[in-house]
Amino acid sequence: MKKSPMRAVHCLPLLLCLCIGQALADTPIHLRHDAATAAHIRISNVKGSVTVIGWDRPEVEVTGQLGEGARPLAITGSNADLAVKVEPQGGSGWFNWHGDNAMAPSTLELHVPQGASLEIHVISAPLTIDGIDGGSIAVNTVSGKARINARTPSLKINSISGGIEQAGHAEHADLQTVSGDILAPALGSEARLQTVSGHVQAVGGPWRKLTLSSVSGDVQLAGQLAIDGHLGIDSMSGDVQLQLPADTSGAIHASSFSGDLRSDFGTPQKSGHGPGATLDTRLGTGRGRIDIETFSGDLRIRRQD
Amino acid sequence: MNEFEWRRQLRNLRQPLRPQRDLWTSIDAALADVAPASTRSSDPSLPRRRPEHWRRWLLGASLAASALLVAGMGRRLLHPPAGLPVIVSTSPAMPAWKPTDPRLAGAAIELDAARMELQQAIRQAPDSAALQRLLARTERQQAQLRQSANSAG
Repeated sequence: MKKSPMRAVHCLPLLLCLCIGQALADTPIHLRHDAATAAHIRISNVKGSVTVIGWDRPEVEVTGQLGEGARPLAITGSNADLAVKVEPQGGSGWFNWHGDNAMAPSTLELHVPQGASLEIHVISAPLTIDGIDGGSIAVNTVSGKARINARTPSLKINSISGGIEQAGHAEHADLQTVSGDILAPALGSEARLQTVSGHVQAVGGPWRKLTLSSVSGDVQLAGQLAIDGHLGIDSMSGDVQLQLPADTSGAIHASSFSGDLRSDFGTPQKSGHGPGATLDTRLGTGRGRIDIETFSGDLRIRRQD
Repeated sequence: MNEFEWRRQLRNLRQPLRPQRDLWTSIDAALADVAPASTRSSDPSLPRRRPEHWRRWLLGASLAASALLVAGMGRRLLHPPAGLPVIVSTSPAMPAWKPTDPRLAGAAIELDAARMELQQAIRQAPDSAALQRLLARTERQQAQLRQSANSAG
């Protein structure tokens, strides 16, 4: 059915009024505060967005738009320990459905010292962190996607349905979701990755310790094992693909209760009484250990070219 | 013979057939000729019955074995071997938790479904350490979600 162009023209004033109303309802933010180069900064915002950018100045700057229904925003605390929290009016506190629902989305853009440590809580607000170098990062999110590009000694993200995208380098990473995907191509020596149904793609190493667990999400992992390293992967029904360098040294134990098992290293043994297979093989003389177990998920161990 | 004719002959076979003589008299006679148990035991062609004391011994042994089995199962439940992981969940029929905050409802359903799937898988593969670890981690995530919901406000 062809719509009349006049109908769209009639709607324009209404749309314009709505846009102007929203613009007037939101309050522009422009705040500054001195900060130590390694300050600890806590940020929270329920919905809207949060962008944190590291810079080389010893101060914190906050810009953006504060949503209607939010308390006036302020940077609180000392130079070494700062807080920027968007909260609903009426004192209903953080993470309250009724209070959060009555508040319009807020957009926060923060510039912080690049060596700062961050502790960020969001609910549905997507989060972007860029340019942090040296400080630790801890994030809690419900459905907001977290994109982190940082060089950090410690990255900890706990998400429910929001996806995680990591870049830069995270020496120790602890990434956990329920259904959100995990994309972590720059992991350091220790990592703990956990999901229920999200897909996991991770690259990094040499790993001293990496544990990965997935209930039903598929897993793709590529990287190198440290000399004494341990790599452990548990999956129920998610398929697992592990890529290892040809010079990997250590023992591999892999098994699948009813899934298919194929490996470029060693020869898997089929179960004598049904589906499933196991693989026990030793590569080189290294003391590293790789343990992989799936219940019904297929398992592939491939040699990296 | 075509298929139609085959079918017609099969239908005819379905009719009741009366025997040409009375079979009951011969059946009655055969039943009357069956020897009593005492006389049968003397027949060398039939299997010999075990003596009474042998049966009592068998009954006692089976009762002792049952008692040992029950005691062993009870001990294993109370003191699981150190090498085996312990299932964290002790209540497979734990009721599903429904958070009041709709933003957490989907995750609560997903975690509960995952927990039940893992418990089903563990029934099939009770020795799987990976499944036990996954169940423990899933239950920890459930506990974290409850904690988030409880701390709301």
